[in-house]
Amino acid sequence: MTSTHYPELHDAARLREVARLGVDREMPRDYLAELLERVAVELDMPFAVVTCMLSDAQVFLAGRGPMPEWIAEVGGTPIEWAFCVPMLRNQSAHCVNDFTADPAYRNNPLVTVEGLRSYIGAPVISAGGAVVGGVCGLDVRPRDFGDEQVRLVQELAAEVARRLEADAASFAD
Amino acid sequence: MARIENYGHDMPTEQDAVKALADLIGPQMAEGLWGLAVQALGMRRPVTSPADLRRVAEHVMEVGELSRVAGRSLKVRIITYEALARTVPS
Repeated sequence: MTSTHYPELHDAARLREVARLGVDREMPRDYLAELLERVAVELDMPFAVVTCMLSDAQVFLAGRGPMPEWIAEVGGTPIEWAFCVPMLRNQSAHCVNDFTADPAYRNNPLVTVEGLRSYIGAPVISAGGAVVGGVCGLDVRPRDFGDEQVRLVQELAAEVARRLEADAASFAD
Repeated sequence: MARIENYGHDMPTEQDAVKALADLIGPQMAEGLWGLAVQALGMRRPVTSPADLRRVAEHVMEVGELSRVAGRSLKVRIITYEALARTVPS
């Protein structure tokens, strides 16, 4: 179905972790808002999202900043347009200073149509060791991300993972 | 020490399992799902031992969870198409 080259997307063990955490479910997650506020303010990013990577789509668990109407309606995008996918393999933070200069991203509709230019993200890793999603900051300007910014987004992604685990545990109780 | 005979808890049977599923998802879906789960595990019906019943139950759980994730994924792709299709002038 998808044109991506990441078999990790369909890894049953990873998708079981997604299901265990319940991050595929459509529900408000207000407890993530404060963390996205930090991404936006401390990294000076107009958009910040927590994503979950399903098998063939990404969904947004929380978002900050104006979102195109259709994306807000859908609550996600096809997986081919997800910037977080490389983190499935390398399990580490990842940034793109200018999408238009990168062949892997320059034809992405979120770049060509919606005008996104730069990205910084870190993986949300479940207690079972699976990359279930990412914490991302997005900008319409090209950026030059540094180590300090990468470190911050990694810390926030680890905190998102802790909160998702705590939320899942509260459901299980 | 607790003894099973004091609790009046009978061993669940395959019939109980399929009936419980049928109450939730209908008899045809329940029969189909149970039968396919048994087949996928290389077993034959009737499943009788508690250990095998547990394996089938776990398989049904896993199929349910993975189906939910795949269903949400598919839903996002369909709604994306619908939302974008509305933006095309007719």
